Amino acid sequence: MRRLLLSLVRCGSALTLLASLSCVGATLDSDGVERQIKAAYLFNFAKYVTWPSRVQADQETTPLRMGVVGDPVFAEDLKKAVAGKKIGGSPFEVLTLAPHDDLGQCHILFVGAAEQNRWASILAKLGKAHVLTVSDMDRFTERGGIVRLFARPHPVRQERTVLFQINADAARAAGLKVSSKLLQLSKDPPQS
Amino acid sequence: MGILQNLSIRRQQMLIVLMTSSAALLLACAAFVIYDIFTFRDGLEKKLSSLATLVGNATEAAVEFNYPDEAEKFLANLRHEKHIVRAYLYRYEHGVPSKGTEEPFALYRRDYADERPPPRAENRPPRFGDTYFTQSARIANSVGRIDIESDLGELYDRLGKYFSIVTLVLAASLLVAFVLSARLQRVISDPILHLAAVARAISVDKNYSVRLPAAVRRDELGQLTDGFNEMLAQIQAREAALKGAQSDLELRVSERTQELQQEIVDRKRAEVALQQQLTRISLLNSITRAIAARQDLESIVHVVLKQLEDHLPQDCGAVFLHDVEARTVRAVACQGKDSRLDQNALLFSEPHTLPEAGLEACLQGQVIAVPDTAQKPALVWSKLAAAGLGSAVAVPLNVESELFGVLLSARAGLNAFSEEEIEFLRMLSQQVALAAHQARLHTQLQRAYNELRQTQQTVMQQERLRALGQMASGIAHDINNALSPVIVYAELLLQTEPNLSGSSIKNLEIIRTAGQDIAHIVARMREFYRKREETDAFNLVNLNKLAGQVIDLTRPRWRSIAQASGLVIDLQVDLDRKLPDVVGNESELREALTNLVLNAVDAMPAGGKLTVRTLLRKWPSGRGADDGQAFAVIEVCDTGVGMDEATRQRCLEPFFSTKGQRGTGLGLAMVYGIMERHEGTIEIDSHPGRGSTFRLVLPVKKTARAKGPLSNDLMQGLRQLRILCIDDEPLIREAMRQILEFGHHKVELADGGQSGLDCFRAGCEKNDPFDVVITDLGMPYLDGRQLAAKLKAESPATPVIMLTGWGNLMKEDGELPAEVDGILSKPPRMSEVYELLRKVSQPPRLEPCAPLPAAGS
Repeated sequence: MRRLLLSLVRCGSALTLLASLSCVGATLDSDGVERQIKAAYLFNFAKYVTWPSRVQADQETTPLRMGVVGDPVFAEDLKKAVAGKKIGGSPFEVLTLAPHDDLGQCHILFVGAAEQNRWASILAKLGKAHVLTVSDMDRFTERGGIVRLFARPHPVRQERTVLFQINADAARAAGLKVSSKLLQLSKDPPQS
Repeated sequence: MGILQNLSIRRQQMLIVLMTSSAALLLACAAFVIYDIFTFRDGLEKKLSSLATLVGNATEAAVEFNYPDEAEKFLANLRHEKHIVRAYLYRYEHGVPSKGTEEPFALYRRDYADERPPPRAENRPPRFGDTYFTQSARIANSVGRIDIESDLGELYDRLGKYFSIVTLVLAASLLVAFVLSARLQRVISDPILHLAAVARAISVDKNYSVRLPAAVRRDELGQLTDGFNEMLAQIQAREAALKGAQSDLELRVSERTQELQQEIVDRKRAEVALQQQLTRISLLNSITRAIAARQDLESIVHVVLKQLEDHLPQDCGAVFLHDVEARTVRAVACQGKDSRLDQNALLFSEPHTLPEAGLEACLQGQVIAVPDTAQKPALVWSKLAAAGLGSAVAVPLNVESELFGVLLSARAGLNAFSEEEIEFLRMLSQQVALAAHQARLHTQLQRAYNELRQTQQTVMQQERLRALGQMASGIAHDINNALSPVIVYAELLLQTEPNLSGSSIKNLEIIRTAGQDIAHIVARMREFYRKREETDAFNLVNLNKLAGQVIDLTRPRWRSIAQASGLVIDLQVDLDRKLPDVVGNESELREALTNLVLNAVDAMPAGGKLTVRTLLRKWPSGRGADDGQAFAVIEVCDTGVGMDEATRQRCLEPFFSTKGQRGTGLGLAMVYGIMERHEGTIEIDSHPGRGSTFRLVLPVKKTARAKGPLSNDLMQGLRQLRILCIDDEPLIREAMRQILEFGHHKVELADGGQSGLDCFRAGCEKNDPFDVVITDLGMPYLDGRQLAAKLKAESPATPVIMLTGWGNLMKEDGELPAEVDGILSKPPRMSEVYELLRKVSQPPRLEPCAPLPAAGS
């Protein structure tokens, strides 16, 4: 009985592993998996980005808020990915927001591709708020976004891997300090 | 060290300097190199460790975002560090290493490296001998680990470099040290070498006048030079003195050598003399030993002559014996080595006096040395001269200063005996005399010993018999006491009972005779070894009658008892009717014959034939002592078991018995004693299994000292007497009363010495004194002898008769004791009693019981 329970737990953890990029060069055979990888990326970004508002010692009490606009499914995935995790002692908080909500309260804001048309207004609304904007919409970085997620086939392994592009100027404009290690990994998306 | 010492002092110094400096240099270099290597090693470890940390930090994000390409791109930068062989990057899941085999997340390998992953780092400095060396570092935030492996080529390159530097430095410094020491060592070695060269020259040339140049330096070498010079001066002075002494010594040595040579000559002469002396002494010794082993004179003489002939040497030797009583000499041995010499010519078997022989000087114990025998006219010397023996020496053989012989030694040449040889012969003569004397003593001793042994055997035999006699006399008294009533009453019956039948009388006579025989046996038990005594009653005895009595006496044994056990003993009697009587004690002879008959019966356990025979044996005339002597022989012959020779020889010994418990071993011994007393002999013929014949041979004597037969009338010539009879034995007392009352005497009895004395005194007082007193000898308190003394003191005239079981012993002491008038043996026989009474009462009593004169006045 106990063994059965153990194997069930293992199955569960295997799924979780898969969901949190356990797999090297995660194969993106479905949108679900790709979403999960993106959610994990969002979590990892938090490690390499320094928010001016979070330098103080109230990190432990103040949760790191992640907002999702225009993609409620991703919001669910993200909630699963960060559940129980902490960064620098503070827990995560995932908020599902609408474009007219106060988006500046978030530390990281994921903008779904569905909000492509309203992005400019969102950007304007954010202003100089210290928000790391992430999206998988096309030309996001060119349009003032900070991190653009995209997938492309691996040159050797012929698999789709999730990559990202960082707009260092936009980040600096938002008052965020992005680690050079993260900047090193920034890739240019294929020209479409 | 040994090798070093054999080199010259210069080389030694240089070698020491070079070895010292190179050792110091090597030590310093080694210390530097070791320190550097250790420092370098620690540095290498730190360098690799920081490199790993650096790379780990740099690749953190690549690992985090799972970009292996980025990581490898970074790792490729390690190629600039040429000793890095491998770098493997591992990715951790959730900050822990994945389990199982690890797949590297990214890796870097140098072209020549194989595909094995670097081993886990041990976090220690590298060791010599390791080929590779690994350091690990965790990537920041524990997202993975990096292992960097480096080869140790750098370390070994460095070592090689050090080696060449050290070699170079060593070579250069040794060169400098060599040059410097070669120059500087001369300061020390030059003066020493000079000194050595001068010393060698001196020892070769012996020229001690050479000197070293005076020293200018003030160190030890300068002192050495001064000392050397000083020593040379001393040696020079001493050599001069030595040369003077040497010439003096040589002179003295030559003188001493001459003296020694003279001494050697003397000693050799003395040695030769000593050798001769030694030879003679050893000859003396060997002769002494040879003759000491011999006990007879003849062989001693021969040994002496033979030894002298071989070893002295002599041509001829002889020994004469001196007869002390006749004062003559006689040659007993002569021995010569040359057969040409007429040896026998010297031997004159006829005795000659000493002066005749020419040996008279020997009588005074002098040695006669004759240098030329032809010059002496006496017998011995002329015979020697005639035999061609030119010189001779005669030495006396003395024992306790008495001449008993002469030893003569002769040689062919004239004057051939030296002083020493004469002295040797004199010494030898003493030894020979001693040995001869001992031989004579030995012979005498042997003879004496043999005699002594025979005597001892005789004494032992007598001693055994004496012991037997002592024992027998002890029990004789008791037996006599017990026997007395038997005989007395038997006699009384015979004498006093008129109505006896014929057979009763015969039986009573047999009882009396047997009782008397017992008394005799008891008496003889302690006496049978003694010679016959004059007091013993010897009468004429008819052997035929005796034989009949014995046959009657022993009938129960050979007939009744034998028949009861189913045996048949056939008795044959063969008597010579004309046999004359022999003188002897009938009782003893009867006992002897009884013994023989009983022995014969005992010898036939299965029955047989018993023969008793008497015969007269007459030796024919002309047989010396036994001339015409006739012997009466009584013979007992059986067909029984017989005796072997050993038993036959011992059968007469006391206590020798073949009958085991039944026999006392005294029977035949008693027979022998009886026959000895009768001057007769026993002859025994016996063969085992065929029977024995015992023969008693008694001489028949013409004149027999026979006593007349006893008077039949006992009472004849005896008046009635008043008799006091004292004895502590009631039976004997009563028997005596009966015997005496039979003769109508008045008898009073007393049971002890004191009561007897009281009774006697009472008689005297009542004026009715006793005529005779008969008293026992052995009584308690007051014995017979004391009683007799008291009685005699009171009434000397009253005869006292002593009644005793020791009667014969008393007689043996000699005459009768003064206080006793007669002795009566137990058991008392009637005839003896009356005879003795008659004897003691014959002198008429003048004053019976006279008042004691002593008491009266």
